[in-house]
Amino acid sequence: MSLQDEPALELSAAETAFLTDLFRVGVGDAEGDAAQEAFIQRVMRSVQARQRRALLFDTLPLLMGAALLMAAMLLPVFDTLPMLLAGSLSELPAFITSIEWDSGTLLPLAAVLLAALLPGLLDAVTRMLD
Amino acid sequence: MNTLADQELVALARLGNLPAFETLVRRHQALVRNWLRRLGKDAGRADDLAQETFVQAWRQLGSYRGEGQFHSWLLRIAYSCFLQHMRKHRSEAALQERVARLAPAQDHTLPHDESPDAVRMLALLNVEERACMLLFYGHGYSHSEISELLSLPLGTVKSQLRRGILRIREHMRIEP
Repeated sequence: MSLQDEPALELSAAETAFLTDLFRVGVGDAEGDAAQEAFIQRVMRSVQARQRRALLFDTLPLLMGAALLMAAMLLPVFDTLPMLLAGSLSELPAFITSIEWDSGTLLPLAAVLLAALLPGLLDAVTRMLD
Repeated sequence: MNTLADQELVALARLGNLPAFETLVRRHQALVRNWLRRLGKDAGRADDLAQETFVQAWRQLGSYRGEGQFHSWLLRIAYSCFLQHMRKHRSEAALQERVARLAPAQDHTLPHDESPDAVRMLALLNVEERACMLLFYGHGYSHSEISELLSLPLGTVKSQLRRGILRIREHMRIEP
């Protein structure tokens, strides 16, 4: 016999009243107004932090887009990318060795990396602040 | 704000209105906290879970269609938070259950207005039995409402209630 096939239990009125009294979930709270207020404020602070985080994440794609655009304009190697994409991979080693790792290359690259890592960083920081 | 119905407050909160959401928290916090305190054994942890429940509710307000009562929706989120917590701390929860069954009288973390009988009886039941018994006898939910709220098949709800009653009968020797 499966669990679902078990016959329903017949309860007397007294038994039902006993169980109802036993399991009654009080909607009041015996711990007082101050403790309740503290809990409510705690929840609201948490919600506000969540709202701030959501705002940050809403603006993040814009920031990332701006960073990528800046990188595209500044990174000289981007000139070579279409050729690379269209051409064969055999040119890749030569392309990599041709890159001059000076500030003109590294700064835009750092901007791209930062933009990629920013969501994770911001999430970690806001979690810590929560 | 206090005069507005839950559905109106939800509509405002969805637009980012924090005072509306605060009114909802104020209105339902005791219910959610007491539900979690009775499901678990630790008042402090229950409050942490209640906080998580309201934060989740804030995030998921868009998915609340207003079909059922708002507080039922909150209880569903709270139960889900509770189960997630149980899964994460499975061994700790099992130990707490065992301790509670062995020495329920030592447990001082339940609400002050909790009777010793209720503490002892709750400790006898497993999580699903406890949830079903609390919703059915404590809140007056129907079998199908509990089934929806706990995402359990209707037959499972009935069998959990049956097992819970039998367990309590066995220990309390209630006269039918």
